[in-house]
Amino acid sequence: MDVQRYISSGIIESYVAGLVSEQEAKELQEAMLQYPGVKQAVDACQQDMERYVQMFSLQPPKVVKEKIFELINSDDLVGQVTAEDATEKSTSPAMKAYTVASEFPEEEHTDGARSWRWVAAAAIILLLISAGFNYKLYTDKSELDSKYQALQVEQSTLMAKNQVFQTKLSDMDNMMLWMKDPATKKVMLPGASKDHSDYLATVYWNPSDQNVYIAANNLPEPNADQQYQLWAIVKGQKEPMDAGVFNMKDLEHPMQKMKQFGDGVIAFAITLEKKGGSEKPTMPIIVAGKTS
Amino acid sequence: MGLKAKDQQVFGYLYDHYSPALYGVILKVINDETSASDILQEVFLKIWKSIDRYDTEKGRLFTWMLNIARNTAIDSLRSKAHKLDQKIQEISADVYTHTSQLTVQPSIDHLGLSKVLDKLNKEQRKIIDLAYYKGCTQDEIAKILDIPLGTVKTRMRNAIIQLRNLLKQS
Repeated sequence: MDVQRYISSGIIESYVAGLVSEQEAKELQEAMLQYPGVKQAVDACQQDMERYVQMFSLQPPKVVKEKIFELINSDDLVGQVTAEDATEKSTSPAMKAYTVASEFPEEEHTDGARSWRWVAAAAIILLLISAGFNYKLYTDKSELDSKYQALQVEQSTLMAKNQVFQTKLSDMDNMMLWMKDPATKKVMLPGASKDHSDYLATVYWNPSDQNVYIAANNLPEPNADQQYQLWAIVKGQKEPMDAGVFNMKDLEHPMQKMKQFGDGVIAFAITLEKKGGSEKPTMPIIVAGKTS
Repeated sequence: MGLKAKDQQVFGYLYDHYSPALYGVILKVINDETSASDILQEVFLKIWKSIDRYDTEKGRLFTWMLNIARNTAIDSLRSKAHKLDQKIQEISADVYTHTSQLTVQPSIDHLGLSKVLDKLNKEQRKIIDLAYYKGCTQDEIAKILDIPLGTVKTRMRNAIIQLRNLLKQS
């Protein structure tokens, strides 16, 4: 660049008087950084301008100083327009140009403050978005938590049920094994009266382990104050021996365990007794069957 | 630097030293003593608030302060003009007439510079004043002074060179 020609073009004087475009101001600022001669010329021109301006100096009213110091001491500068606000308000191209053109720190900091304002605004927006997401994630999590808890309850319920089924299954397995045992005898108890020859119950009895089970194949539901009672007619005993009462509802379990009997049972019989059973049979035999 | 500590004593000195010049600038822009006092107050509050940002390396303190005063005053002038719903053309016309009629005459001669003003060509003073005090654009100046747009910058340069020479002589 021809520095001398640039200096003598009038650009510097126009710049100092606040008359250049933004583009010209930028060029001049770059030139000032690059060429000390340009910087010197600008400084000299600014001094000229300062001296020119000083010629119009006029003592301001004393009250102004008092007011300023009062405001500064009260430190109540809120609402007062700041230097950067004034810069922003400049709307004419010339003023803008001058603002951009001047390399005074005031304007530089203004740009800094402005960009920080943008950064702050962006940060706040991001914070709000993040807060929104957090809220959504939180509610989602709460929902999932309760769902998870429900699932846990359901799972433990299923586990418990499973446990029940397992137990039942193993019971039934054991029962199957027990029934397959050659020592286990199956005693059919058909209807004792001709009127009810279709009644049927089955007793499974194993003399070696003495277990007795009963299955009601076809017995009528008793009244609420009555219960079926199983009797064992045992060799050497004058009276039938109590083998326990059973409920029809319990017979929904296929088999119900009764009192134990070892060898010597000749026959089994069932009567319908009062609830809780009797010491001796008081009612007619409904079904009965011999063990051999 | 004492100013950076917002030392009130230093600020007081600053006020005493520079307020007449700043007041002069504001008065030249606004031509109204009441408004000028208010603006001067605003300007010094701005200086007080932003003095921390002033960097001695980057520019002259006086120019920095003048810049604040000039911008604040011109902004005030523009907002007032806007309130009165005046057109830019009218402002420009006002500027032209008022600069000669209402310019505050230098009341102090301590720098021995009033002679300089007398010697400065009227056209040269006008171009400096229109740009500096009224914030006119090159376009507006070209219209007001009725000169080609391309010669505004050279006219400005000549005006300030003339000013410089007169300052050297004084």
